[in-house]
Amino acid sequence: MIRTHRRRHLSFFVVLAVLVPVVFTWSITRRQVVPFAENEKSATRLIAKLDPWQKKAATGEILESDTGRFLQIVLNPDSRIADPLVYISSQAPNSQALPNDARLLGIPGTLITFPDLSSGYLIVYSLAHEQVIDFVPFEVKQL
Amino acid sequence: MTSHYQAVGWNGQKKRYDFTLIACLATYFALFVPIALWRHPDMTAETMIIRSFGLAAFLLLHVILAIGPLCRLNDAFLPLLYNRRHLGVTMFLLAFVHGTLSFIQFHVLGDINPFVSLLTSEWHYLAYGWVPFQPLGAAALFILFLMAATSHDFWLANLSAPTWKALHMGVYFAYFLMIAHVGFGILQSEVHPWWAFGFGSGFSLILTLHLIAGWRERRHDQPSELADDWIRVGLVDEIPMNRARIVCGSGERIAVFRYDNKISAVSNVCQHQNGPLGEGRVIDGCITCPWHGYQYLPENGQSPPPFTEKIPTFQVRVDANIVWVNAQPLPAGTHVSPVEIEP
Repeated sequence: MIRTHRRRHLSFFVVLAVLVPVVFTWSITRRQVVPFAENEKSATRLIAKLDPWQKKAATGEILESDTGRFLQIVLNPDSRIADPLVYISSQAPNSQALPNDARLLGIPGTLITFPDLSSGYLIVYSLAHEQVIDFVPFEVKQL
Repeated sequence: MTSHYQAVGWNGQKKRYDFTLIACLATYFALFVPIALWRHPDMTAETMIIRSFGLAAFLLLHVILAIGPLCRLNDAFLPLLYNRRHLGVTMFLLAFVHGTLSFIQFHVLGDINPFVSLLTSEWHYLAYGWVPFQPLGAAALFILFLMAATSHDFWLANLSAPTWKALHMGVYFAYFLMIAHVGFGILQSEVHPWWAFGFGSGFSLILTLHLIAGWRERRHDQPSELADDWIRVGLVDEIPMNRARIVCGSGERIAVFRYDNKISAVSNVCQHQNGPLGEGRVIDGCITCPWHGYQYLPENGQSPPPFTEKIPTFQVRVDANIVWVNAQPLPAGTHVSPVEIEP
């Protein structure tokens, strides 16, 4: 009875001793590179610098590589924003709320796949505070 | 040890145990809040609660998982084991606060069913290398709930100790899910090396302790020398007074006790939670389980009245100062006259 449990217990931990380090290593290595590593950046072309931000809370650029277009937004180190998210919209926000057509793209500091849109607004929104932190217009040629 | 249903059989040790637990948690929160505000001055109250309770539950689970192997490696840790279930229930409550607030904050305020949102919202990001960590946390919380809900002795008695223990082994799967939940969750945004170091150190310690304790026990569990169903226990003097020597029969471990110039043998498995009786002592004439103090009379394996627990007994003989025990267990509660030995 107890010996069976103990044997099963040991088996569990032999399996865990393999799986847990694998999960740990996987989780650490899959972190997004922020910002681009130099070797990755060289493979991309800058197609639009995002400016002017209304409150200078972030900087950003739209990049192009052989695999598509990407957006990179980096928050100003001094701007402490809880749970920031990046949205795209055809219109500028006129209040603290997101415009109705706003679509979630990703989180700042990561490499975000950029949709095939030529113009609009990129919005940094704090989910924790439920308010627009900053936004910037963009204009790029369509692919 | 009780003869009737009681919500919690409070005693001085349990009160001290729980008081220490509450004091440790209070210290933890008193440290967490200022450190979190220093690092993230704009952190909202909701985020603060979610993170502090989540980390508290995760740390407490490591403490809980370390207690078992530590006790098997060194009996100085046995007092920690005594009320481990209160640690487990506390850990579930901390995780429940973390999970419930996260659920409300991230799923309830949307326009789709919050449970659907919880289980499906992250799968859209698989293509971007995102691993859905929230369903992993929810699954772990569900397992912890089952364990907390069945932690009372009422369920232990009704499910039987082996079934109850098998159910509660779910903690290892919950631990794995929590490791993945933390690794693919908070560790993605908290990129300071100390977080990864602390996380890695925690699971390395747990895995190492369990593997060492398991291998050591496995080595001791080799079947003992048999002669016509009789197992050689050793010389009389090799059994410490009021303690036992544990031998391994064909099936289960047997605890051979020496007390009052007598020798008796019983199953090593306590009826309560399958604790190792052979690691306990004879106190007031009763074999006393080191885990929770359940007691049995050495000569018949029965708990003293009014208690009703019974464990199997074994025949013993002494030839030329060598103690032998019969490998075949007698039905639980069977009286076997102890072997008298020279003082």
